[in-house]
Amino acid sequence: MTKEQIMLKLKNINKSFQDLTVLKNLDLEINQGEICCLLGPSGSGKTTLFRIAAGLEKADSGEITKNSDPRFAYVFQSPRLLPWKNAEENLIFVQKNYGLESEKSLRDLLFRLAKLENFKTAYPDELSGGMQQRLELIRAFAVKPDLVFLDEPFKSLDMKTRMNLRKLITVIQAETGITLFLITHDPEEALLLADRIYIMAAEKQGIIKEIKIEKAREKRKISDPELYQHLENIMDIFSDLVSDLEDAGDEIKRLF
Amino acid sequence: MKNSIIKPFWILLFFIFLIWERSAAGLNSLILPSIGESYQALKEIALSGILLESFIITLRRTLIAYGLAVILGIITALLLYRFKFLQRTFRPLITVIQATPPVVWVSLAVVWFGVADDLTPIFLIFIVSLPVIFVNIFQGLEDMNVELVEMAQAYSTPRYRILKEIYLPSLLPALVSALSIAFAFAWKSSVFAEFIASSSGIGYQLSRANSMMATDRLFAWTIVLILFMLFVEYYLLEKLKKHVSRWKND
Repeated sequence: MTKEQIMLKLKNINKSFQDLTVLKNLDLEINQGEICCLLGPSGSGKTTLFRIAAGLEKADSGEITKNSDPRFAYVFQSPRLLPWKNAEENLIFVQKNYGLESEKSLRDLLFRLAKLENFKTAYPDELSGGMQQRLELIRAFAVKPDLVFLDEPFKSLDMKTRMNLRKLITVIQAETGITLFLITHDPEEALLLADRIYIMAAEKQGIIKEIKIEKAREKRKISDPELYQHLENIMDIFSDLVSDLEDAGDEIKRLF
Repeated sequence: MKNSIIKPFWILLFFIFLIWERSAAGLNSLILPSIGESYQALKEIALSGILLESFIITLRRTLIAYGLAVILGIITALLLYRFKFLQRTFRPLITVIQATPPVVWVSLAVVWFGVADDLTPIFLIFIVSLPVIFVNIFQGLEDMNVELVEMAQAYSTPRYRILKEIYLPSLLPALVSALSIAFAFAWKSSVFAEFIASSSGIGYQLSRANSMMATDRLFAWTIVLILFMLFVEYYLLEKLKKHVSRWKND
């Protein structure tokens, strides 16, 4: 596995919904084996870009190049599990598409890693929100993917569960070299996980900055000077985007 | 499922019977036959063989027409869901069919088919149940979670598996409710059509009892109709409902 091989490349992507331009002349690339983060506030087009990259949505124009025929997997923002299938059947459902349904030991391992080994026969309705999220996550890895799209997979989870799941995906990633493409709006999460961060802003209809982080993932701490510097830069970028409310001051005073 | 017959119902039934018996005691059996008289009439029709014969005739008509309505209702719903121009063209027509009173359909059927023993009831059952099936299935399709379909597509699931493992299971609850509501319609329409324009079946027997002022028989036949409806609703369909929603956690 050469690190520099490109897994996915987007060139000159444009996308509008009616009159609203979401993405304008957007370029992006992800190398094989990399963890790439899309960072940006809500409404900055992260999910749209994601869906285009994953082939769930068509761009108005632009070019998408993939490395040979990679297998994609997708972790949705809120779990999309089949309610009439139990946990294990939900994994088998997607495995079947790739002839992997006989890989029971892989399923067992994933269940164990996600601490769901006692819930294999439970239906999604019987699982807590966090458990459903974990099931959604391991389903992606059950198909032995080349690239996993993760759309804010840790959103609305508590700190400890988040850390556990981050650990889980980084361990799998380190052992397998599966490329991860992750959406987050948490700068710290992006800095701790990513090899490459793309920052998006609605005001610019696309990517406004690309950050590459060389430091080994397992040695990273948010207090490292390098990461801290990046964090400050990111904060600066976002505070520039915070709308100026100064001229509203008089009105606020008047109306309260 | 809170639908199954439970104790409070038996208590209610007891009171209904009590009021029935009390009221009947003071009235001519022509106006209100007592429970005993109704039971006697029921026994009579059962022993003479008319009960079974008429029941089978009515059931056969109902099943044929209901079956047709179910199949065509599902196909229509799928087509109209899939093709928007068909939807815009035919959707109002279904409302028109639904809005037309059954008595108009029966009158038309008599004009069209004459006093056709089978055809008139079958036509009425079909035309009354079809919109019910259609509306329920169509609603089920509209309510379907397209996010699950998209998930399946994201994992390159072939079309036939999406149909079989996502469309079908998500439609099952709507289908069961369609079957249940439409059966009640079908069963009643069947009797109604037979009452007006047929010379066999439970409806015809009701009309005979009516013209002979045999109110006890009228009651006996009504009891048969109700008992069968209860059997379908609380036994057959209940089993089906349990089966299709077994993954629901309540």
